[in-house]
Amino acid sequence: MTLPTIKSVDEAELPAITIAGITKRFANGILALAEINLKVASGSFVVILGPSGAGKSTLLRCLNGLETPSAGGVKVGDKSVTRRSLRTIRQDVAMVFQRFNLVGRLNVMSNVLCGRLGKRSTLGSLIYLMRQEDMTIANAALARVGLLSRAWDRADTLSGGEQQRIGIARALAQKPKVLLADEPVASLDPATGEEIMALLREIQKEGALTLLMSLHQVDFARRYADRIIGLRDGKIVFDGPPQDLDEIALSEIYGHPPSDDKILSKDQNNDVLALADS
Amino acid sequence: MTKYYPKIKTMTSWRWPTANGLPPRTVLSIGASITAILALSTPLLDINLTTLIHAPENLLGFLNHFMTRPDWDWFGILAVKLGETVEMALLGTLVAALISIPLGFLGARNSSPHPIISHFVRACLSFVRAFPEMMWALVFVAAVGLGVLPGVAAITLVTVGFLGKFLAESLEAVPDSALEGVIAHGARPMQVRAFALLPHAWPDFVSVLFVVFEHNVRAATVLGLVGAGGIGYDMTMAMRLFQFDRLLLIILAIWVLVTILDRLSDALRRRII
Repeated sequence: MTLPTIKSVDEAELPAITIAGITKRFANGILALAEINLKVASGSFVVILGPSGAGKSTLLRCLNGLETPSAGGVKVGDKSVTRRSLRTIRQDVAMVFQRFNLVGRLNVMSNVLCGRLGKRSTLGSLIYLMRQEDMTIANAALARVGLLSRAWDRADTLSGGEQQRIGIARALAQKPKVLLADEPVASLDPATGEEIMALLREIQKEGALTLLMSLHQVDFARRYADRIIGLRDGKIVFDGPPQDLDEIALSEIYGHPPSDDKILSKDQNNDVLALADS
Repeated sequence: MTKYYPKIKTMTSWRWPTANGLPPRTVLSIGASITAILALSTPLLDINLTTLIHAPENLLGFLNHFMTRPDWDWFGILAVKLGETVEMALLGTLVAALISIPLGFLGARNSSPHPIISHFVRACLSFVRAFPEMMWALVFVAAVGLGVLPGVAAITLVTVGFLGKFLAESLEAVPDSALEGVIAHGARPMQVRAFALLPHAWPDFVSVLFVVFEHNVRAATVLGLVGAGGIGYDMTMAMRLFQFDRLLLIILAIWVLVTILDRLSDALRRRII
């Protein structure tokens, strides 16, 4: 059997992402995003940096409709993201998750095939019947992430790094134009994280994908991104190429080092130990 | 100094691992409530403990009847009747499993097309569950006459009530993250049910199926009391006619059967999950 390579998409038809003044306030009153305006060029690798709770995930999730902004609008290419267009949008926009979000009980192949569901009718998938061409695409995607040999194992028997590769294969199987990655390496050890970052970069280059990724690792962002967005308290506080991300920019994004009033001083620690002895 | 570990005065050097060193308030209040409920409600039952005095004597008198040789000549008929009983339980359980899958999806809040449908389905399920198999068997005997059919129907109905509710609850327990992984790739609602919800809920459903089957075998053994088929009819007749040798055989057979099925379903369940 020959495996077809995953075809790159024509440059001209690639959509850019346009985010026009979106605000997201959650039901509990927390303001996650405050009037974000952003344009992402086709085929670029953009990393969103920011402390926990800055709104990185919410921003990404607004792009494929997992969250609905309270105000403002999002466009992927020339299609705006609305309730009605969600299914068409999601055929072009794939997502890689921090916790992989695989269906652990299903085998690896079925998980990758989930990436094809959006393009197929309900009837066949209710009895888990797949088209041969979908299987071929899923095979190619699995081969691309180097896990073809695990195709028939249950997804939850794989290690974290392997599960994230399956997550990437699932996204690839979809043949997306835009790839969203929500802290894809946050649950992985540094070496595995490096592998996943390299893999995502290669895939992004090969397919000329627009890759929008949220990250915690400044170092990864500097080395892999074409452009870095700094987010803090739901506002963009930095926007520029990696070489512009200096100490001043970082303190803009992350603020001052956390105050240490919650950490016991040496004396207090001794008090606690003395108490335990008594 | 000690705002982190406040030191409290207690009678001994023992304390509970709570902020104030006393037992957790919830535990205390639950314990107090249970005691109060029992103290207030038990008198309603009007239990006469003095009847216990003569109980051992009476019980021994009854057990004395069983000091006899089991009626082995009846074994052939017994085997047929037991087979019928197990078949009733098996058929009822499997038909109920098939019916309860769509009902479970309609009843679960995260997969129901509309909250009203979910409430309606759950109300129906809890209605059929509210009454024991025996009562439904009486209803069906009145409707279709004596025989195995009303027994199977009764078992099926109650089992649908239980399995439907169980499946709905396992579906609701499926984490959103697993759903998002499939939703984010453009899957249609029915595809999300097939590829994310069902695989997560399936193992629990199958393992509870074995437990329900065992329960249904026991239910089928007594449905004969109201003429709804199975070994129960012969058991009642033996008791009424004081055929204690036959009754002894039936009791022993049911005990062995239930034990075998218990072991068998345990082994099967472990292999599947």
